[in-house]
Amino acid sequence: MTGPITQEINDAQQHEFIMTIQKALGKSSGPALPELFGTAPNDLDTRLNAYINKSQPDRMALLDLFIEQAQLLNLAVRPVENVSRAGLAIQEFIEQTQPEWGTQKSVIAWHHPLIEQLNLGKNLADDITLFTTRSSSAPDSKERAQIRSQLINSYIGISAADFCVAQSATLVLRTRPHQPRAVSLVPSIHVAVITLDQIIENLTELYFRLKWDPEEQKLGLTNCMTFISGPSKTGDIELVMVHGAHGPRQMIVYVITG
Amino acid sequence: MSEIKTEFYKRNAAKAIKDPVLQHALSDVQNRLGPATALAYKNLPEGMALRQKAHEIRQFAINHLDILLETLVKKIRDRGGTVYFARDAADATSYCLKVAKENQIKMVVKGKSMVTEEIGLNKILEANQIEVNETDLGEYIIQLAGETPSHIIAPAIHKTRKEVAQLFTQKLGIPYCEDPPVLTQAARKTLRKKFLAADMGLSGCNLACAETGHITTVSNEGNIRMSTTMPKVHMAFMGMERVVARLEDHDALFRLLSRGAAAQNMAGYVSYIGGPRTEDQLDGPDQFHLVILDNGRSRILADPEFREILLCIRCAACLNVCPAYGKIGGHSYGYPYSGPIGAVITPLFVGVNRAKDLCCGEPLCGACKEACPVDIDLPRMLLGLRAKLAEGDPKWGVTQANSMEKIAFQIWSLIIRNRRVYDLALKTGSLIQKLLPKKNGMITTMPFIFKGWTQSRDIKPLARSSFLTQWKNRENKP
Repeated sequence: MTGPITQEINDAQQHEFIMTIQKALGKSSGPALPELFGTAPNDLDTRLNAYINKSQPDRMALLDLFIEQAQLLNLAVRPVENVSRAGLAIQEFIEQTQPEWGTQKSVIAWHHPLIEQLNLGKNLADDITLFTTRSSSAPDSKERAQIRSQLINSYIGISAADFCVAQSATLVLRTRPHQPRAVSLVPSIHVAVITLDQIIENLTELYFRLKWDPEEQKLGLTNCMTFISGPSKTGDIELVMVHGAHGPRQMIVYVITG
Repeated sequence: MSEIKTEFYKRNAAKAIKDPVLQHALSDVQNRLGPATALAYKNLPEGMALRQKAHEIRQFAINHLDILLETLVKKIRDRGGTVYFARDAADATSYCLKVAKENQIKMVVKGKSMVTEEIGLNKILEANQIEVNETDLGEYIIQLAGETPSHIIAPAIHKTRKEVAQLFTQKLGIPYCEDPPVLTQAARKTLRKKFLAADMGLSGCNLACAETGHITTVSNEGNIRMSTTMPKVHMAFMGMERVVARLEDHDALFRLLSRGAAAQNMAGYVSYIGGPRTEDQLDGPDQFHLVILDNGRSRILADPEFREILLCIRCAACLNVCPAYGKIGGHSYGYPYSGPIGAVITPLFVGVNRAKDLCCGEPLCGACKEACPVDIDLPRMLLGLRAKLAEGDPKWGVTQANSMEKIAFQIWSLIIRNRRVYDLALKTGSLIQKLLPKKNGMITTMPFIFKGWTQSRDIKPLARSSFLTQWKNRENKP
């Protein structure tokens, strides 16, 4: 979009900008990068191991903490034994709820291994349409427009998550192919499905694992990582709390404990 | 550039104090948010000490700002994002306009952003036939009303539900209703259409992370996620100081920001954005632009006395506890930044003389320092600005606000250092004060340069004889 000449001007402007900062700071160069961004701690493996291999009672305690914190945010948490129970519960939920805009009952779900296992398509009533966000490896504008329109017309969006931070009841979602961000945003109700081992204690654990766990490093933060702590809300009129400002007005997390 | 009305501080403050609706709204905000934030800090596992840690994190970032910005932009460009370094407001707005024109943008949706208020972006886009939709409910309300924000995070806090109801009936054509959920739903419905139709989304940036190469946006409503996900172009604006080095730095800062802003454990939505949609992804913008703005910040950075103000993360906690803000409200400050943060940063941005009343109007009580999530010593800098006004400072282009004042204090200093002269002055004073109007034994009006002292209170007359004289007389008595 920017031609070579514009690029040169931009580079010159950046150089001048950074030089102004260096002059203001009264320095010419800074410390080496590892010092700035931190080096791997000595007890890295021990800490990672403790984070990843929590005992079952510890995991259940984190689930309790998550439920307690979620309550404060109007975020419903439903522990279920296994994935098929989760599927049934979600199906029942869909049948009992009504769309916010229009009358057509459409639901959109991520193309994701855990969500596939819910087997939602099988037993849904005839008046309910289920869209799945499976796409080609490089979806063109037509394909994207189609999924966008399905998304806009759906009143429930079903997603998975990467982590769930118990201490603040925060879901962490990273962007991947087949998993549009808008599923957790545009529909009136956001349903998320996670497994017990995805619940972590706090932000300290989250950032540590994202930064140092080799498995997490492979993916990185992606070009969009989102934290979601409860349904959309506002207090802009006389500080009165109202749920459903622009994002989902209702949010439910199913936790598979088995 | 945003319109500067700092010269009218006193006039607007006097008007605000006489507005009973505003007074009620302000005390409501302060009574609810101020103590709630203090409690939220206390309940942190690390306690209040986390604020000092956050201070150090921000200080470290500012000390290495050059390298952090270069690291940040390299990572964003590697992901296909475009970064533009803007010297000033005009530079930033013309870049935005250029990108908008290249992409034939007709309509933009905007997340709440103080820095776009600072550069006066909306007016410029609108002047170029681009429809601008503020989408934060508070910002939307004041945009419909044609006003400016009066609070950094609750911009329409000066409006009652009655006023919002009248506004929505008039502008959105909905039946009159004062119920906040109904009003919110009306805005939700109207703005949903805008989100889905807009071809460009604008946002600010709360805190970038240099190490990973992401900006972050924070909201409770989800409007910023909408603005940065649905339109095909996303442009984010950040003040150049809004970056930290390490990912784990966000741990303390986001917990403190959420508590400082709204006494929450965690804001509803936090997004890390590091580039445009990749070809295998289904949504997200095709273009991601980041504008990094100086606009007077490097000048502040160069002065060790005021560098600390760049640590600010714009949470508005200082507004919620400030006795001055609590009486005069945000509009009196005459610039987008109000309260104690505004009283320090606005004079540094627009000129200390031009905004002198802002730093002189704050009471130096220290409440803002205690409420600040990153423990910024705002009172110290308020005093620093006043010292510049008293002495003048060519480096900041400050002229002495009142040269007579300095002479008067020099004379006073001579008088009080000489006992005999001082006693003589007291005697003269006690004679002169007999001529002054009095009520209930108090002087009601002082003449000349002293009249300010009796403008809003009466003053006690000088005693017939000084304490020392009385003491001596006592001792001499048998």
